[in-house]
Amino acid sequence: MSSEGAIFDLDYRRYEGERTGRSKIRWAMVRDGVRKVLGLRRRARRKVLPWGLIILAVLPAVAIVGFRVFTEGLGADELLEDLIPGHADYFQLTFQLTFLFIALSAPELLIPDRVSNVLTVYASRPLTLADYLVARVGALMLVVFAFTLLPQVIIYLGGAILSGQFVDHVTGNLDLLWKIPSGSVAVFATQAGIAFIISAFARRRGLAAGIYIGFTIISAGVAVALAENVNRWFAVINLQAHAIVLIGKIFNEPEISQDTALVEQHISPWVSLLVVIAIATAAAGLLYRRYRRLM
Amino acid sequence: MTSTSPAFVPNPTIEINEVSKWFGQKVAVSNVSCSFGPGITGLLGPNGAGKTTLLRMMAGLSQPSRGNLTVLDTNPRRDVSVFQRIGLVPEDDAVYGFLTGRGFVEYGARLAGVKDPAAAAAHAITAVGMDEAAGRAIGGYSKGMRQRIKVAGALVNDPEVLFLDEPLNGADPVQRVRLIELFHQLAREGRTVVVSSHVLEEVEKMANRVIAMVDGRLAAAGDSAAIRAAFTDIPYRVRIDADEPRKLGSALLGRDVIRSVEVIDETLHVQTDDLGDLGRLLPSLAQSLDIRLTMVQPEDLSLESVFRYLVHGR
Amino acid sequence: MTDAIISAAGLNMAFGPVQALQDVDLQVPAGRIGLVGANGAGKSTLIKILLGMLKPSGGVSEVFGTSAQHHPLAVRSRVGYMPEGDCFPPDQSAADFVSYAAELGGLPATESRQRASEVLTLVGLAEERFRNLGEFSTGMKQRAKLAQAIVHSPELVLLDEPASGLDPDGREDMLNLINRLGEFGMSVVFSSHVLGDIERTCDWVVMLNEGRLLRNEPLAAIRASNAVQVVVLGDPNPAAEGLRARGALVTASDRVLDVELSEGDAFVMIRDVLAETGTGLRSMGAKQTTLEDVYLAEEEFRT
Repeated sequence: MSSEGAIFDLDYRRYEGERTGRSKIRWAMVRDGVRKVLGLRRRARRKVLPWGLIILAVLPAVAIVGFRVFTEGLGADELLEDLIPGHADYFQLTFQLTFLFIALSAPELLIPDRVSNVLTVYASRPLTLADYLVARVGALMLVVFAFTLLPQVIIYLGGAILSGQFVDHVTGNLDLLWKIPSGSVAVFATQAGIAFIISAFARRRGLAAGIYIGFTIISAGVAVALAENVNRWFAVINLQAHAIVLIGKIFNEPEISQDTALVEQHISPWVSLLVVIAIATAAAGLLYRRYRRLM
Repeated sequence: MTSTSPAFVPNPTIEINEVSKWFGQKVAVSNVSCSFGPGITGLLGPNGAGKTTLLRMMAGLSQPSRGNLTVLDTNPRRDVSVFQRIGLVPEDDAVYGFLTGRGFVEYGARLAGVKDPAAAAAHAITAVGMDEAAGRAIGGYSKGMRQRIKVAGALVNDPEVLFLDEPLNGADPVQRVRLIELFHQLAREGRTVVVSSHVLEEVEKMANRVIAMVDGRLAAAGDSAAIRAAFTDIPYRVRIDADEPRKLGSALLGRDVIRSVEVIDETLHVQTDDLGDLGRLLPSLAQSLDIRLTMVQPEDLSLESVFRYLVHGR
Repeated sequence: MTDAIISAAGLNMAFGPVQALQDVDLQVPAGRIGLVGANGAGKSTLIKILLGMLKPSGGVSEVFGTSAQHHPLAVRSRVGYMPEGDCFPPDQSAADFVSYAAELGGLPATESRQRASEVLTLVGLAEERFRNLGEFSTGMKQRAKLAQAIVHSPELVLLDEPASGLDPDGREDMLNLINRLGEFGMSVVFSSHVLGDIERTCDWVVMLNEGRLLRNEPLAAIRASNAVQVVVLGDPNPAAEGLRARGALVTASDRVLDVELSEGDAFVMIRDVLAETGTGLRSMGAKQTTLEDVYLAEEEFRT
């Protein structure tokens, strides 16, 4: 055995390994966005609102379906038959929760980076502006999809279990496989579009959320008033209602939207589709242009 | 209070007497006594040493917790009229982007109650070399230009006392030389100029006298070379390049005035208690040994070295 | 220059009526490069163009042979940037953010965590790395900014006024770190208006003045001069006269003598004259033109 000694240089090591591709970098941004939205790795206070809303959105489905499945065969079937809400109904039930969630999350994703000038760090990395924006929007989309889809899946499974014929139920309801996600997309596109536009310009998170919520409430009232007294087309201003109409159309349950001004004024659901697409496109364009000038 | 300590000057305009300032538990300035007079004095200290706090008290922006501080024989917190005789160039950008340079300086002149604001402003603007750009909005200025217009703003009331916080920040080399020349001119006119800066090589060019603070206390005062000499337990370090360094080194070791000799990469590093003795000794010693000297450089005379010794003791 | 890491040809950048860069041609080799000029001289503009953050009004620029205008991502994966202003989210820890910055630079997630820790230790933030960036002092923020610039192991790092706001100790530490970056196999572009800092750390200098390239050469070439500068103790006249008598050209300013000899050994002559006149020596050495001298000469030339 030799008596050698060595000192190892604890200084900077060069990284000679492989560099990850752009997709990994985008994914890192998405993960960061998800953490920001859910308040992970931050103070506990930051987790209260998002998780609170998520629980409120998911729990009813779990509770009702669980209760119903549990009480299956106990003799109260007739009474409890209609207890489980339909898919379209559940979208409507949680509509305000997703609205609130998005109103609070979109500012969190865009504003601090801009105000604290973290954009400079992004600008010096091998990623494009589009990568950044898509990752930010995508992070919110991921979270919102997760908690809108989850209860829908629970209801779906509950229905399948309760029907007694699991496989038949599944094969008989295959259309739900595209309907449910479409519903989530419609809700997200309508609610997130404006939220992101406001967050691209506002400098304070609370203010952005407030403006969005205020704008939505006021425009709803304005839409109804103007539609009744001036011109029926003003109903279009009530942006949130378009999502409800689309949900109704997707699931073929127009009743859920029947008390919206849009239906009262006989505005076709196709107009709603156009408006939602327009909002999404406008948001994408405005965001890109706004940030192009900053980065 | 008069004293022959270098912390005090014979004709003081600013007198600081046993001043302390605390914020809750934190003592920012601890029992500082010194004075400032006509000429340029550098105010130095690491971040958190109390330098900024002291400057703020002198400028009348804050009140000592204990002790008294007078500027032009007045307590600046009590008698606000003394502000008309003081100029302050703060470090932060407290200027209004939409105003033109001239507009900003004239505004300051009017605020200070100057008799002919336009003329005073024009004079100050010329002094800082901003005649050409004075008509443009400050928002479009570079950092160096904003700095100069701030100086103009502080000069417009012809102040007897001028406080400058990082005044050369952002200035290009030519502007720097001009500004330093301007400050020297102001000092020659008998004004009291206090410059606070972290860029010690610039302070060296501006001020002969410095006041240094460390940990809230007065750590040193006076002329930089004299302060260095006051570190009697720290020998001077000198680097010497010669064609036969070891031969010279051995010869030097034989002299009492030399404390140590090191050879690093064929350069001699010598420590001596007396720079003057070494300096008088070297030429004849080298000549007698037929050694060619190519470089003799004292290493720790700069204000930076002095500062390091003050803060770290070595 | 065959191994230029940065090159530009005919680079122009105009912001409305203001010409930030004008006809800049340069080739810069690997090493520690100083980028000097006043604020507004075009330094930040040049850096942003090199990173592909800004599109020049005219001309081309390349880093490692790749054009940032056409392939910005390829350039940025090999380059790090330490911006001048703030760039941190206040509610994230240093370790967290620097790790994220590494991932954004193309490093795998597990590697990123490890390297973030190492790099933060290297810049002297080992103990503070789990604290939120919002609580950091200016000095700590500067170090953290350097950390995020080098964590993804770039080959070139662009530093925009890295010592700004630091007290003398912090400045010293930062300059030492910058010096060491070269040992880590990184080239450095050190942009600053403090000429002394550049003179201490860089081996190549790019000097900008009002958007134009003033000099682009090794620092040694700029500093080289024919004169020897001597600072004497006491009365300089005997020494000055003695040197002149031997045919030297002597410019005296107080106790500073600049000595030029067309023939012969100035050093030996100075030694002999000092010894013979009994004049003491404060310092002596080849006169080094300072960067400030270059700017002042340029200014004189133009007026």
